[in-house]
Amino acid sequence: MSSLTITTSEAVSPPNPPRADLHLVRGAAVTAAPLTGRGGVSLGAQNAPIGQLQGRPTPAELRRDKEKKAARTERFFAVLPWVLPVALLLIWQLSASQGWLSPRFLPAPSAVWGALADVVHSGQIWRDAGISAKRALLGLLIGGGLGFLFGVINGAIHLFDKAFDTSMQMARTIPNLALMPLMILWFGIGEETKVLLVALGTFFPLYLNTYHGIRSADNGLKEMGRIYGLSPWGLFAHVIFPGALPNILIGLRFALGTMWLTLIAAEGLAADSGIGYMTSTAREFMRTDIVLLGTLIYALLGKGADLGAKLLERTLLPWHQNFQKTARTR
Amino acid sequence: MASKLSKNGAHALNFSSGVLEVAGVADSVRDSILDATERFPGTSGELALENPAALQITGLDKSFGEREVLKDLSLSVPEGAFVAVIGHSGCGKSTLLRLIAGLDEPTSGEIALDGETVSGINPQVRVMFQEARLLPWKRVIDNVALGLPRAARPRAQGVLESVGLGDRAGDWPSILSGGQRQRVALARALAGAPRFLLLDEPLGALDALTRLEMQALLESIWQEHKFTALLITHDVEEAVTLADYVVVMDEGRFIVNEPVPLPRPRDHSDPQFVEITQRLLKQVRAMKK
Repeated sequence: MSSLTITTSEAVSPPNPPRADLHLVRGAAVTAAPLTGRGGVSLGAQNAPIGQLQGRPTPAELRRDKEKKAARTERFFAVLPWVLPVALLLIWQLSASQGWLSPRFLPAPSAVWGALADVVHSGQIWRDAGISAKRALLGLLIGGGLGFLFGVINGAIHLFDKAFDTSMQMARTIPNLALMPLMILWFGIGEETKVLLVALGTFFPLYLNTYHGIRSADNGLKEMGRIYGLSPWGLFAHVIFPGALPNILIGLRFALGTMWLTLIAAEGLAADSGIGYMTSTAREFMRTDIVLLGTLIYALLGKGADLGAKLLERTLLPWHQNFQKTARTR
Repeated sequence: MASKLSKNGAHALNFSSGVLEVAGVADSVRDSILDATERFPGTSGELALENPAALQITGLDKSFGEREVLKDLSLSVPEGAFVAVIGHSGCGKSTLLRLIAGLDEPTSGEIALDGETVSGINPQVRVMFQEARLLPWKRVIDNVALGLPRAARPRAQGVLESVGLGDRAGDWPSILSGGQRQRVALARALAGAPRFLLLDEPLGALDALTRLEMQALLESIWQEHKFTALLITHDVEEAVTLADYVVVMDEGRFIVNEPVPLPRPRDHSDPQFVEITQRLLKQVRAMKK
């Protein structure tokens, strides 16, 4: 890719140079970029063979250029999100190895890596992460499932709405962790406490968003559906529920957030296994590396859940504007 | 062309022989209607009815609380006719359409389709709205087939082709243009082979060029499928382009009806077309306070 620069004085000075002047610069010419009068005008003529179409690049060349540019942009945007975390990691490692950071305050990434190798080697990590994931998913299944169910019923059926929604709205203002002492009194530090707390935490995000999604179904579409002969069930299945689905999935993503939050708190206080238990025990033994490791695992599990939710959105909402790119290919 | 002419002639005859009645008409307006019928000699005469009215509205009132929206409307539309209702926003034309569609119930009076009183939604009636009201989560073809029994689904592709969108069957509605969406909505309306098509300003949101295209499409589809059409619009020219009769509505009453005995497709520069349009425009302007 080369650009030609006009440096001849004829081309610079007059505000409206005669075309003949521009032809001096072979080929690049007639696209006639406005002259700036500042001493040089560059006209883009890319690898133009002499005499071919006044030196303009062929469409194929243009396309190739465009593709190259697009590929470069894509690579740039693939790398960009990782620049900050990697830089932080490097600074962290450097500070630790230079002795600027006390290992008790913040051990080096390599030390955390070592702790990971230890727990992987002993098999402790699989046991704890597995138990935590099981509690999380079981709680989500129970709480989220019920929240979804009540959201649909209360959203769709007026009688149930009147009977239950007010109570739901009152109950939702209680932070689920506030019930932890009560749960411990009732169930001790058994599995029920954790699973129930997670269930309580995931119930409301799903309930509220499902309810809202069902209630805010488009009246125009409902009217259309009735005119076009849909039964009440058909109206729900074809019009109301698909319209509420984006909201329901937003509810699910909120629920995933509260799911991990609840679990971390519950496992730290009332457990004898799980990642939360691992970190709180490590704290007592001043094993900052293991504490950090636990935090990292939570981050990974959380990210994994979020990816799952995104995948679900992609599969369930192919029509949605956000996913039109994938939709168009079919 | 000659056969189309005679078809329109027949509608016009029915009109003046009392099938299309206008209730509550002020004397001056009635005179102008008489003028109109005199101006088109082919429309006068005392012919007996050949068919009973497909759409018969008798003494229709509709109030929402204290507010009277429709006042003692009577109208009779012969089978296969194209009627346009024009009037300012809020004159009650959409309410009238909702009553005919069975979406609402009249306060008093009666609407009959093919001699049967309307009560609730009727599969013989389809409605096109100003917005296409397509389901964004269904592909075009599934939108067209909405509410059809499974056996009738192949029909959907056929109607989609007849509105010129046969190749867009697998697309999502969100990537269609406004005009294309309305064509899908039209295909959906036709898929059930209705006897009545109610059009609630379906072209109101389209740009001028697309509008003209859609008017031509509507006309040819109507001629092909032979349903009875009721178009609500506030575009006088559109009404005169498409309708056999144009009914003007003001504050819940029919105040004028104007037969349009012109051959189709109509030429906007035809002096008779211009005359009818001008006369209607004058009436519409006159009722604006």
